[in-house]
Amino acid sequence: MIWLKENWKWLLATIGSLGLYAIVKAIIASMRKKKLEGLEEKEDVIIDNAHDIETDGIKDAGEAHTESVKDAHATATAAIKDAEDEREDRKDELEEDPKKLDDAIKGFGITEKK
Amino acid sequence: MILFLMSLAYGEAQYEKLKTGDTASFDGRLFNDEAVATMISQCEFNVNQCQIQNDLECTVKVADKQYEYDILKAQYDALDYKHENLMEIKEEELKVLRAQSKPQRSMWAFFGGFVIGTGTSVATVYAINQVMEK
Repeated sequence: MIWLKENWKWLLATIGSLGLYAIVKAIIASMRKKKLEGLEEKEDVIIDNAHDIETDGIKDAGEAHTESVKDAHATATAAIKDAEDEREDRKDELEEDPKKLDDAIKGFGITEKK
Repeated sequence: MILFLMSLAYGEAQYEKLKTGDTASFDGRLFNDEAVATMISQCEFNVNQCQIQNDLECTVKVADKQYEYDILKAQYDALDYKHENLMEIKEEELKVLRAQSKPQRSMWAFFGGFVIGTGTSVATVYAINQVMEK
């Protein structure tokens, strides 16, 4: 009791220092926790971004595929139309020119009997 | 008029040009020029059509493969992005957690803490004394 009466100032100072140490430690722990939470949030953002990248890529791929198939069908339709026109022109050409008709028949390996 | 005859008698494909009233020299079928022209032009058209169909199927197949590739690339890009960035975050996380579980306490930190603690205690006692004296 006497010791306490004589040294209470030192005891108070020591407790105060320890309290200060505890406060500093708590601040550091809180900063670390905040940093970890920040990293978790960053992780969520990255996962969302990755998902967006994948979704956009698949969407673009789908659109490109649709366009390609559409173009291919349009090209084929146009080519068929040209071929039909060509067929009619060719028919007219063969009807008008007997020599070409003969050549065409010979082209099939059919020989003319003289 | 042309007599277009597939000769069976001679065993080879033959045709003969005939005028109306002429006699055919072998059995067969008689077509006029228009019919022959139609058959030939249709035959050539069929070849073209086949080629066009073939090109279309090839193009669609290539487009399908490109689509599959694009999807895989999109998945790869997303995974690559995720992997790169998550690795960085995990690395940072590890640094923080390592620092938390195994704090590096050097001799300087120890003495620094001791000196600061002692200094604070002495300063506190001094401040109390100053207050008490007044």
